[in-house]
Amino acid sequence: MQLEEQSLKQITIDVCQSMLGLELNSIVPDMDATRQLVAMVEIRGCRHTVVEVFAGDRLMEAIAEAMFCSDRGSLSEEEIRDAFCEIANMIGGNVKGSFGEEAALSLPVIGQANDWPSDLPSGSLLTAFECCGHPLTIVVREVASESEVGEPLAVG
Amino acid sequence: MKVLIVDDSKAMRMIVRRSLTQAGFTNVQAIEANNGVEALQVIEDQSPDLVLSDWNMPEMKGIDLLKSLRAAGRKVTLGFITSESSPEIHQQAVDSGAAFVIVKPFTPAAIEHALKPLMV
Repeated sequence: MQLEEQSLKQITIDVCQSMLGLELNSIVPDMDATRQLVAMVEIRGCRHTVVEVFAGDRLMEAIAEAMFCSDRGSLSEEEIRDAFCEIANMIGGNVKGSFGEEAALSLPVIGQANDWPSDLPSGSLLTAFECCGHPLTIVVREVASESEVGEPLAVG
Repeated sequence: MKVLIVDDSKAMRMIVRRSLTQAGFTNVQAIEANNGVEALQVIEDQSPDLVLSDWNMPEMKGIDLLKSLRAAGRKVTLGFITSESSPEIHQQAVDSGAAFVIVKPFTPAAIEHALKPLMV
């Protein structure tokens, strides 16, 4: 994979910090699988790459509140998930752009994260931040077969 | 000035609206569409002066919206606001008649830079 972790970090910072004003601090990845959702986009070109963004309920709400400029508790679940999917879309689009090859970017989907993707292949990237007091984790990995992608429950 | 914002994300449509105001375009009537198919109908009904469109959308992609407009002889100015940052996408956009491509994430300054020449 051509993407370096520092580039992935910068992409995420640009999305969350410069556009939404959300401060990010790098942390060691640590996921509570029972309370995480994952938004995912796929990049299909010479390689098949998956970009996954993991966050808990409260961080998703905070991100959505920043995007909608709304008060806490005022957004619907659909609006919150829409905003979170857009974060994955922006990170994924810029990851795709960094590959320097022709590829197609999928629409984002969202679902329950049961665990970290198991047995991340060599070259995968996993980076985490603290954002609004909660972890935000991004995984970029190549997949060899459709069964490795997983099927997040698409909620819209 | 009537501006049509086309994006399947309601959150992103909100950000674009807000960015137009922050960029100084306060005399803008912003209308919205969820995808390219909806946008074609809105353009037919409301004749916006400018279309700001996402690239990847369900039903109809932004590039297909642009090609449909040009094939129908509609010359409405269209610019893309997209997470697609690759050079071939940008070239495809320009070759198809897009006025500009703004890459997400963007700042109000990027909106101002793209739109100001169109206001002359």
